Amino acid sequence: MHLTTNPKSDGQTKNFSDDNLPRFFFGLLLCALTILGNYLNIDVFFGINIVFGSIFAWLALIILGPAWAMAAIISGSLYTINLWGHGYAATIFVLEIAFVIALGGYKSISKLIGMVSIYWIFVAAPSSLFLYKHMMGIPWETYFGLIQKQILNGLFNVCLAVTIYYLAIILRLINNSPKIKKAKFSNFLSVLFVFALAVPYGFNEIIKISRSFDLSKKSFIEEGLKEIENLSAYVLYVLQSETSHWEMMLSNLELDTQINFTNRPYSVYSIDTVTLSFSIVFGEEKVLPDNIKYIYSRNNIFNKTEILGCDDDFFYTVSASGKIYVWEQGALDFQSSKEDYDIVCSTDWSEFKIQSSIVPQAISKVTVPEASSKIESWLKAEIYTEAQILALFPTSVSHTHSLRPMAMLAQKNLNSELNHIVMFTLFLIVLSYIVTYFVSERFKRYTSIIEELLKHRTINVELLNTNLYEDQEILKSVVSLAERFSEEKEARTFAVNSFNQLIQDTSTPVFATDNKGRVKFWNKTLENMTGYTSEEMLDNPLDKIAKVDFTNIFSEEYSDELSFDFSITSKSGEYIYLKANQTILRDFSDLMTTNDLATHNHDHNAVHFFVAQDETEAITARAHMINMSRLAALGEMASAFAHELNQPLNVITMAAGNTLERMKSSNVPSDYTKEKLKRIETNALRAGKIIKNIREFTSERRDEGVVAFNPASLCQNVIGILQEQLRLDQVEIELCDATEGELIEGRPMLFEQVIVNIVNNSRQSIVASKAIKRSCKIDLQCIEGLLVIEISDSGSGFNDESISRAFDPFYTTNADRSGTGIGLYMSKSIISSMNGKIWAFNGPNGAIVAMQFPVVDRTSNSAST
Amino acid sequence: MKHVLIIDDEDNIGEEFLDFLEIMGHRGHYFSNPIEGLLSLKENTDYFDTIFVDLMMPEMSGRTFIKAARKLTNKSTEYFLMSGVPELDLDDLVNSNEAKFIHKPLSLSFLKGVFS
Repeated sequence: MHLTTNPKSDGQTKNFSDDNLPRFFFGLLLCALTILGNYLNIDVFFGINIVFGSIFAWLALIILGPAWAMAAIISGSLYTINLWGHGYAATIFVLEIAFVIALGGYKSISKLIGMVSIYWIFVAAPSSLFLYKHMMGIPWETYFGLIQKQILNGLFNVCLAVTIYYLAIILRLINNSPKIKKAKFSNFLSVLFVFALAVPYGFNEIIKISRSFDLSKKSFIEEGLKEIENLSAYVLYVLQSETSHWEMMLSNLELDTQINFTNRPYSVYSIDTVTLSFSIVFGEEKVLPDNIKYIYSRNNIFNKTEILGCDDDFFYTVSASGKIYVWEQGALDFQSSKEDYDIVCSTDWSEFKIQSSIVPQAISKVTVPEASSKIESWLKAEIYTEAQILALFPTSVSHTHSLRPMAMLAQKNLNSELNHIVMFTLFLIVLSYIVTYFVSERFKRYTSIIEELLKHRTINVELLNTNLYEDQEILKSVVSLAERFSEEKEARTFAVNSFNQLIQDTSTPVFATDNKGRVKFWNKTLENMTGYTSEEMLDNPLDKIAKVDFTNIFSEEYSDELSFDFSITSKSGEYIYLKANQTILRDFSDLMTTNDLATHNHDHNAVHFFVAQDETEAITARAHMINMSRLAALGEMASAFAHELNQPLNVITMAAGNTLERMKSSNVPSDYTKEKLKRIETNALRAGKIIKNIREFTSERRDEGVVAFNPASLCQNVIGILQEQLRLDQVEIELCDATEGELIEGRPMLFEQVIVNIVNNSRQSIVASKAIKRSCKIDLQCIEGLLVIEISDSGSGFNDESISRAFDPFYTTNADRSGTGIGLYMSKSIISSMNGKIWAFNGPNGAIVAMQFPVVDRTSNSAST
Repeated sequence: MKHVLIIDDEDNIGEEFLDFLEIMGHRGHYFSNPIEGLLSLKENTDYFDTIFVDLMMPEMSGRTFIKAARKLTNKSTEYFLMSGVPELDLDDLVNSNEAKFIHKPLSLSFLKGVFS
């Protein structure tokens, strides 16, 4: 799966394909960002936080698909359990993504926001009601506050995710996911529309709410601190009053072992902490102590009496002698308890202190440090305060001040504010959909008007509401466009007609064919040149009169620069050589629907225009040049041919004459006659072969076709032709054929001419150099699909000038011996026409001329010479 | 009876020449290599009455041979230069009567005329 569908991607955009690591790491990154987005939350008021994690979960859904989205949202939701202390919100977040996946809303960006809106209103709100209200038992005010915050948060996150996605596409950071049907710019505008209106208002309101709550919270804290201060002062008062008599009381302590503990509800021996419990009434009621209990630990180390205590009715003291006194207490009147307000008083009696301070002193002062105050979450909604009481025995007083009623009141006020924002946002989303719909409909109408105009040159005014100024302007523009279009059409038609006239009347041959080589256009020049009229040629295959293979020409990848050489046999039987170059007529293509070009389909039946160049004259001139080169070579070999031919004739003449002479004078032995006749026969055949070689070499076959042939065989022919001359010049010639009968393509006679030219040049060079070793070698071998022929000699080689000008026309180093200077020039021309190459350079013994030719694939070409 | 030297790179021609001379009652000597022919002349300067030389030979042309052989033989020795192609630049040899040019293929009647 590839997320890239845009074929015109410029290569700079990101692709997260299935089979590579970037997709995996990008998924991990989005998971991490989802957790981070939840971590970096905004605390609006007690435990109601705006979280941002789902932005990245939505991006994961759009870009990477459902699996990664679920992974991201689950990762992010786990953090909310830590944040809020419950898993209900996490469930709702995961359900949100699952809901959109299940309905396939993520496949269309335009539907995504709508789906999320539906989820929060119709699924998340009722679910939250069940989870928060019934499972957690939170009050209505908190529920409404929470769910409205969640709706706002959810919509904000999905809108932001979509915006980020669109921006990434617009900035070409990523390509549109193939899972998303269409990324519409209008959708992006509608999201921006919602953002532009909702975000400033929403943020303003949320900041106002947050600030308002901060102020309330501050006053709550101040109030709570004031309360604890009062309470602490009261505790001080109580402790002072309660302990004021301890000094006197303890000084008279005596151990009384006669007390029967079994009558008491609990044993003083088992209690070692002192507890003071108060009940505080918040509001206009007075804060009063309730159910005070303090039971002091005892320690009988060193046999000292240190036990004292009380319960609801009595004080107990134990004297040094072990006597226990029970004191009735009636100073305190306890009221009914209120569990919300507790004061815990604890002492820290160490053994040492007990030992050195047998007599307790009255508590003198209570301090309430401000820094000790803190506020916990809305679930607890309380202020916890701890105060140190300076006394003989260090004592602390802690107070937990519940703010729950205050928080409830504040949340009630916030809900109405949040409600406004949520309703406004939802209204904007619906409005954006409506606006997008109408704008899109309007554009569709304008598009259909333009289409109508282009197709039928008419305007359907009913599609426009001419009561509107804008539509009137559009109508004017469209009419003006129609006029201009008409003018343009006329101009184009005129241009095309002129062009048609031009290509018809031009002196250059112009024709057109379809992909199969059927003639679709044939201009007058071609008619004059070939004798075939346009009517005769249209829709007929060009290869009927021309040597050209369109199957090969059009089988290659379509190219604007297509050109090829071909020849036409005219009606009168003459050869016409043409070089055709394809001409692309894009500007005219849609209007080239003349009779000549009845069909014009770019896909399967495309018409290719060719402007041809008549090369008949050039090819004829070239043929003459080749002929001249051939005649020159022939001239050089004429003496050798005459000599070679006269030798067998001489033998025949003399053998016949001698036989006749002997027959005149005596009986001739039959063996003698047989020997002579055999000699005559052998030499007659030899003469015939020489004549055949000469005839073949000198015959003019200008239009010999291109065929595949065995170059080694032709080299052998050349050696046969030149053998006598080489023998006379004492030049040894050797042919080394390392090929396996590979074929090359070209005109065999011209190839033979090339070899004759080069070997003749070698021979002349060897003779001129007066070298002792006179040899010429023709090597043939195949190297990597190329047939390489090297002709080396033991002559004087090339000098600097001749090596650079070897293939120049009319350049010769043999002018004094009637060298024409066209041999190597024509050889190069012939080899080029065979798609070959030729080089001249010096070897270790003399000159080397090397040629290379592409080898013909014998599986596709079985022709051979 | 005349002593005739034949120099020709074609063995068949040499053999036929010898056969002809034998028929005519002359004594012929044949060398396919002109250098060997020259060596023979050096040793037998007055022996040969008539010398037939082929014009085109690998080792040495007939012209060169005649120029070298003239220095070894008597002035009375007749030289015949044989060739299948008309040589245009043989004027110096022919005009100075150093050799006579005969065209191949040789006719026996012509050869008979030479020896008569």
